[in-house]
Amino acid sequence: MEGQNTTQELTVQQAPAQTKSKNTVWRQLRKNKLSFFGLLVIVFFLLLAVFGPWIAPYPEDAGSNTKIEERLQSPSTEHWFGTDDMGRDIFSRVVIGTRVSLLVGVVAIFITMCIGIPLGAIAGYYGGKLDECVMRITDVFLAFPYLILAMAIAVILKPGLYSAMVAISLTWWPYYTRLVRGQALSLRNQSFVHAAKMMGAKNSHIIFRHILPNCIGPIIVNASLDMGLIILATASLGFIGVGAQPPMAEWGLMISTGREFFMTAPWMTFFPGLAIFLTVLGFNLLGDGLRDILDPQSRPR
Amino acid sequence: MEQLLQVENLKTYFKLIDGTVKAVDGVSFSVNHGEALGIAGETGSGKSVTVKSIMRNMPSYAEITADKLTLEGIDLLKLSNKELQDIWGKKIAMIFQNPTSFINPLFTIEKQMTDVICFHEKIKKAEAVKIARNMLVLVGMPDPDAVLKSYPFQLSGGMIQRIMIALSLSCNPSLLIADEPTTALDVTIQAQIIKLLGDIKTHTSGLILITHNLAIITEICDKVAIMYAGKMMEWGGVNQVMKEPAHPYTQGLLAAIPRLSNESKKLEFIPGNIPSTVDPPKGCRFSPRCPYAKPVCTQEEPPMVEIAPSHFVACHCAGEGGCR
Repeated sequence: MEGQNTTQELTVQQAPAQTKSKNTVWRQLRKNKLSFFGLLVIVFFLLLAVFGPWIAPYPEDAGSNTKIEERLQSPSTEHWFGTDDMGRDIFSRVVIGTRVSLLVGVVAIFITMCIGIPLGAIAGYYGGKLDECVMRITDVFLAFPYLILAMAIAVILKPGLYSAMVAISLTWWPYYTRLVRGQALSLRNQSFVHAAKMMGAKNSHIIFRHILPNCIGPIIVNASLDMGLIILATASLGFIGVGAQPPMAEWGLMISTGREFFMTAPWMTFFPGLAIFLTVLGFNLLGDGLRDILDPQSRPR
Repeated sequence: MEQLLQVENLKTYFKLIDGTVKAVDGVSFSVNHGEALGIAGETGSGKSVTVKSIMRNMPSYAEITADKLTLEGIDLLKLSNKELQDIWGKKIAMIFQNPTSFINPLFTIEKQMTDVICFHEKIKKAEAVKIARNMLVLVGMPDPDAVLKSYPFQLSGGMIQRIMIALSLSCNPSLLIADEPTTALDVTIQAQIIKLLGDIKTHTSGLILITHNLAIITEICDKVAIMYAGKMMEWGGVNQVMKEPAHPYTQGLLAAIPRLSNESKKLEFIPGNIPSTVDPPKGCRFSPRCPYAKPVCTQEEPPMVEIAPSHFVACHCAGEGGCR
């Protein structure tokens, strides 16, 4: 063919890039001890969430089971984390509560992303008046401290676990809109977006093919950091009483009931608190590590 | 000969707070089927704006007007944004200056090429892959199968420029616009790309090449247009313009090419800078820098005159045996 003779010196580095980049993320994560610890903690809690009812020694204690004769027992070999004011095994309740907390975290993050990411991408890509409108709406939402806004929404929606999820999602999406909008703003001026347009690409194609995939790094980092915060927020709503309702085994709610017995039975608040602390810590450590790996500035080209 | 692209009196103005920038001010030229036109000029002379206006790829505050702007009989100025999407890539394709930044770093070459081909040709992916592979062979890519599976970061700048050329040609555009396609590449790759552009000329109906490098134009173009401060200074066949440059600006540009043969002399240059297009000089825009400027040059704008068959010059001296 024409030009063949001039190109002999060019060679292609043959490498299955997909697996390579996955390997790099994995290897870098392994190297970062703290993030790897975070990942282990998360995996541990995920296993608890999946197999909770089989691990828990007294799965029937998840609900409103009452064993008055065993109430407020301190930790022992029989009840590892002690028992609460209704004689329920706290270890079982903490283990079963994992499922609730993680589920809320995942669902809330999912709804948040579903609202926030498309809005941000559209606002950032199209710009102009649309961008102004969307950003002013996010400003309104961001003007309130998120917990107060979430409380207000949860109360309006009738307190419960599902309204807590919805309330958290509705207060959280502006952060994602802002994040994605910022990325989209800089990406839409990138040459390859320009080139795609010049090859006849539709706006929707540009947003889904060129803008969003290039935002994925920051989104993953933010999501993993926010998982911890959202679990904390759910527990807070439960603690205040507008989240999960008794007798559900939910960490925040357990701390809330344990508060009355804090002086006599501190294990009632300590162990659910420890569970919250560990999950939030796990997600934060992992998120920090992922930020180091996936951040566009430090991403190896 | 049948005309592919006709541009008459093209004007692109930017209305800004401190005045109107007349980036392109009354440019006329045409490209025939099977012809390559080279546009040359200093930085800021309006070359890129001219081709971007032809493609209608300008921000909304740019005002594009023309007496005539047609591609194969289609009035480009009347197209809606939606219709433009079908024109872009299918009828007019563009190659850019800095290839590596014009490709999405996250997807394989195959994905990016088949996306475009599937969209324009309305065909299945498997066929699109075949076309993509053929295009890579056409641009002289060694080992096209491996290249298709590669990510942009695994390829060199020269290879990506070849891919961009293959991509632009994959939907058989009528007009290919290359906006300084070799500026970001090193000299040996430049030579390869230029040779490739010369080779593929036969695969498109027309080619517009923008460059600072007059040697490249001499190499592969049939016609050349010299632009200065948003105006066309001279245009005609490559041989005529390069051998007998009639405009003092063209003469200056040609003299500024370094030659090994005359060691003793310093490199020639055109004194001064390109004027502001907000407030261009009266009369001939080149007059403040022109070594042959006469009183009339600063008063009246010179008309385009045909000094030889299809050799046009906008200079007051041109009709009287030139400024030599």
